[in-house]
Amino acid sequence: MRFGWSPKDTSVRIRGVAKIVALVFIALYAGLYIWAPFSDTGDAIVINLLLVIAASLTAGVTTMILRRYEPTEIARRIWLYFAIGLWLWVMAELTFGYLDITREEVAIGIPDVFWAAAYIFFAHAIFLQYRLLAQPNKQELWRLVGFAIAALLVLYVLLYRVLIVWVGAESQLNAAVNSFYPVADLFLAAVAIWLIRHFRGGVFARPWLGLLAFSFTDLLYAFIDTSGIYDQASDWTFLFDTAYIVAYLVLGLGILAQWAFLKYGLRSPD
Amino acid sequence: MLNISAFIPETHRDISSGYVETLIQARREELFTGLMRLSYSSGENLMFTFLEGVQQKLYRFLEHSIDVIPRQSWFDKLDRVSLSAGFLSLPVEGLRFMRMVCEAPVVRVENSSFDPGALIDASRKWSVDQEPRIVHVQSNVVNKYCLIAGHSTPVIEELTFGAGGARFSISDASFSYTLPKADYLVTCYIGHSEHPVWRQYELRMAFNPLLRMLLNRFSELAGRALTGRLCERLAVWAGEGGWNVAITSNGIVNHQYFETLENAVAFYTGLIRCFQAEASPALGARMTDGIARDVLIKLDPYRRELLTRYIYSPSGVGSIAGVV
Repeated sequence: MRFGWSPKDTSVRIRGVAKIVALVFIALYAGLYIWAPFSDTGDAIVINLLLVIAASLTAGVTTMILRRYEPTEIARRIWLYFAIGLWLWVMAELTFGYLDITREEVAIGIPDVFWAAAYIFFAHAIFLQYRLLAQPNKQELWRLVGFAIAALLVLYVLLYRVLIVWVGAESQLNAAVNSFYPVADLFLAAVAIWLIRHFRGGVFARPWLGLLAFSFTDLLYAFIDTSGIYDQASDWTFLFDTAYIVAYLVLGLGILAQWAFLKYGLRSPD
Repeated sequence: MLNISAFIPETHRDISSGYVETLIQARREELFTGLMRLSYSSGENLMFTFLEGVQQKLYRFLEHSIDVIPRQSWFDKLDRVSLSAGFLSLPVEGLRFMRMVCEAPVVRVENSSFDPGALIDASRKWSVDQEPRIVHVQSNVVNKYCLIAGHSTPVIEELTFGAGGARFSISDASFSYTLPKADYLVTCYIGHSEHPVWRQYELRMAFNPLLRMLLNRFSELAGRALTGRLCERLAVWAGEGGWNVAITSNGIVNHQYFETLENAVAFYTGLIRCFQAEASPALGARMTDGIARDVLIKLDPYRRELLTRYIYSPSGVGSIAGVV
């Protein structure tokens, strides 16, 4: 190995460095958020840039996993769709950041198209992962898919009604979009828990632990955003914005752990 | 009775026991694998098996049975005058075959005469039978032995004797398709599958698809590259233990000559433990067990029961929940 390290040492060091970088990244983000050393625009640029970098790192690591599989493998397709989803989130963060810097308030629009589209790719990746793991027959598969779609639709309609009737959403579009994220996040969280249970104790569980962390954070974000807490309390805003970037990094670290295992795992010491 | 030593050509006649020692020494030096036949003027026939120059067993062919002579009596058996000797080179697989022929007890013998078409039907019937058998097929031009384990074991091992020596091959229930048109004298030596020699054979036949399916499933989940490295690790483990096997992502090529069923079980159990230890860090213990469960369930009940009894048992790698 380069530097005379064994594959195992290399893997441990890469993951160790990544954890330190992630901690420094979070500290930097929190510090900039609290002390806001630049002008309003400058702070907004840096904060949004850090978020885009965190999302890009996660998507980048996911893309690296693709190279660990051969083109015909199903696992490669799973990670391909997952990577596409994460890159769409990068696009969402980028456009959101741009709008956040250039406009006073970001309304529902282009970033939401990227965010929402990403869930389609995640759902497809998860569908492939489920098929690979559970090996269901056609009947079982369609029954489960049908049940999942029906449950998610019911949940979506319920939430939409709550937002329209009780919370008093600004518009129907607002309610429709804001109902979508919690439902989609719940779906991701449920699948992540199922996958973690299956891969319990293995490195392959870590990306899904990251996804679970992300889903919960996003779910909380959706809640405080819809309830108006996000715009009122700066402490809560700081907490959830930081949690959001932490979730990206946790997801990235989880995926990195799998990448490191695929690249360096099960190699005999030199 | 199966006097298979009769097919080993005599190459040395009227030799002394001292010369026999010289011949044995020469085989040791050349790392000979195969059979050595010793015939006495009294009509007694003995046969040594050699594995890479090391004598494994000495068999004595009697009229109705074959004895295994204990190692401490070998010298007494050889200390005679005027005997004949001959050698037959075999691959390890052929040597395993001979062990079956010499050690598997025969419950009953059935003699029949078949043309090739009838033999095809009969061999299909035998391959799904509950009783294992050694089948001797003879005609003017063919002289071969087949191991038919029954219980739908898809593989039939064959040892064909000809002018050039013996040839080991692997076939299936349709092996007689290739036989030339003739009338065949077929003798079936029927055994019982509970005997350790047959058990060892069946376990080997069941273990191959088990490991291949385990590796396939691991490959689906973890990718071919990681599976390749997993196989390297398994091969290193087997090499360190001195086991003569090759492990690739297609499964195991087993060249090992196990002296006992216990030895074979110890190897298979060790290999599965090694697989579990290597696969668990990636997939987790639950998923690794899940893979084994899926694979065992996919196997037919007979082989599943066999593997569960000897490998996935509390004294082996541990039982798998949900597999009966």
